[in-house]
Amino acid sequence: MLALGGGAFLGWALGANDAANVFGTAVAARVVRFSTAAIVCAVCVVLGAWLEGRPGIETLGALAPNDLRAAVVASLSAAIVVTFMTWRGVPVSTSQAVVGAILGIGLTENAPNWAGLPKILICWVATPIGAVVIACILYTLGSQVLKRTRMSMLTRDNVLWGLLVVVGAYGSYTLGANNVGNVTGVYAGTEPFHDPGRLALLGGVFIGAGAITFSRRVMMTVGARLVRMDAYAALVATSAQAFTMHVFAWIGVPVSASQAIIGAVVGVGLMRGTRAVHATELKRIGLSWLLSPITAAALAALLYRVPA
Amino acid sequence: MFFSRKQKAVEALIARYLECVEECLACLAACLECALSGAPYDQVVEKAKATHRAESRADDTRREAAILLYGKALFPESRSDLLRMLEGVDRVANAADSVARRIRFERTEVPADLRDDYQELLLRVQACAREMVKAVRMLFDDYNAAVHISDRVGDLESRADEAESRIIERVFASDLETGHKILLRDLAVKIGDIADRAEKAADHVRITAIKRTV
Repeated sequence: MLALGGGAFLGWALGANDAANVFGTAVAARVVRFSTAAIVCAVCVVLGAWLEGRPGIETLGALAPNDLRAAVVASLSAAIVVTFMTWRGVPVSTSQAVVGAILGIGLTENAPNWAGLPKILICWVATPIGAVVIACILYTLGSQVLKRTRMSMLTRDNVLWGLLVVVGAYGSYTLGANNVGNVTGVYAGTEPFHDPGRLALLGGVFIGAGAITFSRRVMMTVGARLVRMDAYAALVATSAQAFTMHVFAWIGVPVSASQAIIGAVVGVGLMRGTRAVHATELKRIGLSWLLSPITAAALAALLYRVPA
Repeated sequence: MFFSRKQKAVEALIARYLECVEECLACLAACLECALSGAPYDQVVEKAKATHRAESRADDTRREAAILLYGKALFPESRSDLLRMLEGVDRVANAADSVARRIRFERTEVPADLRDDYQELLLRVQACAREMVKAVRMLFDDYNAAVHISDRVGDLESRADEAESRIIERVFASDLETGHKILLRDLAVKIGDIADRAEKAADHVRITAIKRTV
């Protein structure tokens, strides 16, 4: 169980960084309280991981070497990179960090496992693009519905609040379903972790813990510094992110919740005019996406060389 | 839903506030009609005091609403929008009270040939203020429609401006003493000010509604 320490750290780091992707827009818009968001996120992440997390665990398990030491090093390296980025307030792709770490170990052994990688890479590119498109569609449809609905401005607030919590819960569920593979997938097939169901549940718990304890800083980056959000914009962005994640959970590829929400937020920003998007912040985030797998690969290669 | 009790409380309080503002405007209309008809000064004073009392009640209700709003009843953005709007409406009630005080203390005598003009100005100002109140109420019924009503307030304010300008033109074309002319002009400007403030309040309503019309 001690070997799961790397996975626990990674799960916690993923929860801290990615919970922001689900509820960051709502919390930064001051529509949902951080405490409400953190608790709902934690509970739904565990459910999502447990009920629908197995395909992701199997995909990443196939990519990773069947070696417990490699699994620990990969988890630890990715966790360190993600935690650093979280501390900096930058939404980062845990999926990319984990895959980068796995490949880094593989390159050290001169035996990188490229099988399955093309599918993963395609999904990584498709995630933010898909989220942009879905966000634009949802924004247009939702605005048409709101324009045609007679209601008090305060009723509108109530409805949006309710929907934000529901969609946030759904987004947390898909976060667990899609990303638990990043946390414990590397352990699949290694002794004594043969039961993917147990790995899914444990991974969900680790993610939930991170969401509750350390996610506030990244929430403010996602929700406020990239595009200024109101309740409706937050709802559209969260819905687009959740739906995108769920699609890729069905496909069985762990994709980045960060990239999904950033794509969704950019989509909302584009619907409001390109000036709504904070370009400098977008560049900062893009750079971290590029650097995180490379850094994780280098760190994993270094740590793997350390004698056991 | 979680917010619904607070929502009902806020809406009820704002509705009560708007009734107070309407009462204030009605008292002012009675006060000005009294003054224009040449009624005894005591009656004019009584109507002016009634306007002031109505304005004070409106102020108290507005403060109650502000306290409720500050009690984290709503989304922060909605809270600030409503507070700004209430402040705008409050300026209308203040302007009405200011006119009543002017009538009471300055005892400006309106010449017979100008009384119809002042009546006309009052009617147009009342219509403008009524439409403004309607626009505010619409935010709590159908916020999408509030924008169109706010636009109408602007048109009514322009008509009130015309009536005000006509009075000033006629006053300074007359043979009255300069001091009398100035008092009459100031009275017309102060009455017209109610419509100006109603238009500004309606602008707040428009912005509040447009922000929610994505």
